[in-house]
Amino acid sequence: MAEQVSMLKADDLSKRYEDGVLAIEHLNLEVRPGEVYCLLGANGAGKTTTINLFLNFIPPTTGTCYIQGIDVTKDPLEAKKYVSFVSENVMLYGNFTARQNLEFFAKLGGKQGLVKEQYYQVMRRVSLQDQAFEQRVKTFSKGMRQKLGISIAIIKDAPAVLLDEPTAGLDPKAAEEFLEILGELRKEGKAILMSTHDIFRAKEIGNRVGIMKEGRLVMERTREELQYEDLVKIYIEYMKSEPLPA
Amino acid sequence: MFKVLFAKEILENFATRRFLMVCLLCLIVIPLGVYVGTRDYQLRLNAYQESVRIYEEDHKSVQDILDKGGAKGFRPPSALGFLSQGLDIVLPNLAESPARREKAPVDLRLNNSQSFENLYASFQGPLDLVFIVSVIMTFLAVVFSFGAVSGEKEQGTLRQILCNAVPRHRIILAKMTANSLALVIPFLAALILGLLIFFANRFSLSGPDNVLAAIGLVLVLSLLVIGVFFNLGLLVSALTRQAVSSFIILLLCWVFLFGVYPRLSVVFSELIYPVKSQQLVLLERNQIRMENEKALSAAIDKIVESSDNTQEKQDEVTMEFRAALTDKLQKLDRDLENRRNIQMRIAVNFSRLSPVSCFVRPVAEISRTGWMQYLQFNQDVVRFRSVLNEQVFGKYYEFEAQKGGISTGFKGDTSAPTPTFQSTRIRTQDVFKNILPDAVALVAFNILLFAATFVAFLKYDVR
Repeated sequence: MAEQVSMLKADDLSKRYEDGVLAIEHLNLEVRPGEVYCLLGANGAGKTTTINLFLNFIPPTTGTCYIQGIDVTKDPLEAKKYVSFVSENVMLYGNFTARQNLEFFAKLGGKQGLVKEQYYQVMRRVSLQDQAFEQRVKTFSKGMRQKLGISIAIIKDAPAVLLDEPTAGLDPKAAEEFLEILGELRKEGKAILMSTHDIFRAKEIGNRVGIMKEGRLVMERTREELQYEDLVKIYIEYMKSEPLPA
Repeated sequence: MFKVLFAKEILENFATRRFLMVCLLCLIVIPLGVYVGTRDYQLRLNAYQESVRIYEEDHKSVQDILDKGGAKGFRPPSALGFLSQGLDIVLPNLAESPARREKAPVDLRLNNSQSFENLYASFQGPLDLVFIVSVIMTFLAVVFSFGAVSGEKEQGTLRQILCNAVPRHRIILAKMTANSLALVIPFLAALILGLLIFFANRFSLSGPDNVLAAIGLVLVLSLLVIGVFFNLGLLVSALTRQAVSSFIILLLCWVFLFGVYPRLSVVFSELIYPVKSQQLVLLERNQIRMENEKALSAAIDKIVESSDNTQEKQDEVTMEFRAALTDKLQKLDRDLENRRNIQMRIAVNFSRLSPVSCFVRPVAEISRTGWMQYLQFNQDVVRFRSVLNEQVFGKYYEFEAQKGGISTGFKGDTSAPTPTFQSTRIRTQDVFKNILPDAVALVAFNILLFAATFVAFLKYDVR
């Protein structure tokens, strides 16, 4: 069987900010279709910067990000056709209803001509209650907004999904539901890159788990490898270890 | 893609209480301002027509001018005062010759005979369109634009939009068009309502030769000045990361451009090009008169002492001195007027760096309540003075009666009709020529700010 092409790929990626801080250093990672890659790391480790680089919100200092083989810096608009994004706090238009928000972002994602029922179906899929469909989003709880955020990602139907700490602040039930949806997306063949602090869920959902420290990917394990290792212990050891040499 | 973004912006703007408040504000304030301005015009028009009627009834012939206290010329009020009251209330609207009989050359005194209905209103200023646009609408433009970029960044929705294949220029174009429509639609609707009130009053229109063209010009300038503040709001929004910072910066800009800079430009012009005060000029005039009288007395004394002493000779010398005095006084007036004009031009040019100034003065000129109106009235007065001096005061003379004392005579027909004051209408094309630099400046402000916003947004850090 031929090796699958990576959907998301960071190739020797580095990012130094204007203030001199080196946020990412020689990062190499790839996420293949049908795979969930969990990025663990302390605050400031470079997880969000990695996602920002994939979304071309900031340019890399060196190296390249690829989405479906497209260089994100060279052709950002083409690359963004193949990616969805769910942030830690899904921010939507408070005065719009859930359906209006979903419709707007679906159209931006290139999904024109959908009818109300199709939007409703997607919202049902993420377990958003029917009475919330035509409610203004400003009345939504964080969990509801996260669900709507993932429904935006679902409706775009992009092959790659980037998630920046999507379960942070969610109650356990909402987080569990969220991970169930991620599992479904993986089954559909989506390549998912998720930054998270949640070691347990990373182990549960991730096909591969990477730990970032001071902008470097210091460890990477597959799900199979983690069956015989204690991820929590590994994570804490890395966090406690001496600062990396410059 | 643009349609989707535009529709979102429209929905976002039109479904807010802010939009409702703006609609209400415009629909109340603009028609009310037009109504008040129209009523004020009607009152002043009545006063003007009554003054002219009374004067014409009393002054049917030249004899009446000589007997009943001089000639008068009245400046009619402008029908477009509701657009801008401008200088109308402080400019002279009456030119009158001395009440006593006097020989030529006679000067006309300029007066302001307008009565104030409500003196307190002078503290607050008029509720004309200039006020509404330059204060309310420009402020609303800031309110509608300060959060367009930074607000959406803060809200987090900009990231959500930009993780899609959406070109940034379309986002900013959609914001510009939709947000400005949300502001302009209530303004235009209210203005149309106001104009219906204005045209519903079937009074005679004095002032501009083409009322519709004048209103059209004011509308264009209004949209341009609103556009400047709107684009400025977008620019500041695209340069800041927080909506509150953007609002504070814009508030300071608005205060500076609206209230501070136009006043500073007047101060600059006074420092750069000082002009003598009116009081000093009056003193100079008196000085010239006294010196002339002294010189005249000396000349008359010389004639009396000489062998060539005749009444004709004395009259001839007196006329020469009077003519010289008139020349000197007119030169003084001309110099003063020229210096004032230069100072005014300096102030106008300085103030053009503020879009508010580029709007306020031109609208006054279009409404015929500005500086051009003042200059035109002065020209009309000069012409009227020449006619009066030629047809009335130049023919009047005094002589020593044989029984002693002074007798008077008139070398002409005293029953001839009174010369009438002709008020010249300023042509719209002349006004247009005058305000063209301001209109160009407003267009340039819009283009520059638009371009700067565009560039700033393309580089905007959405993280």
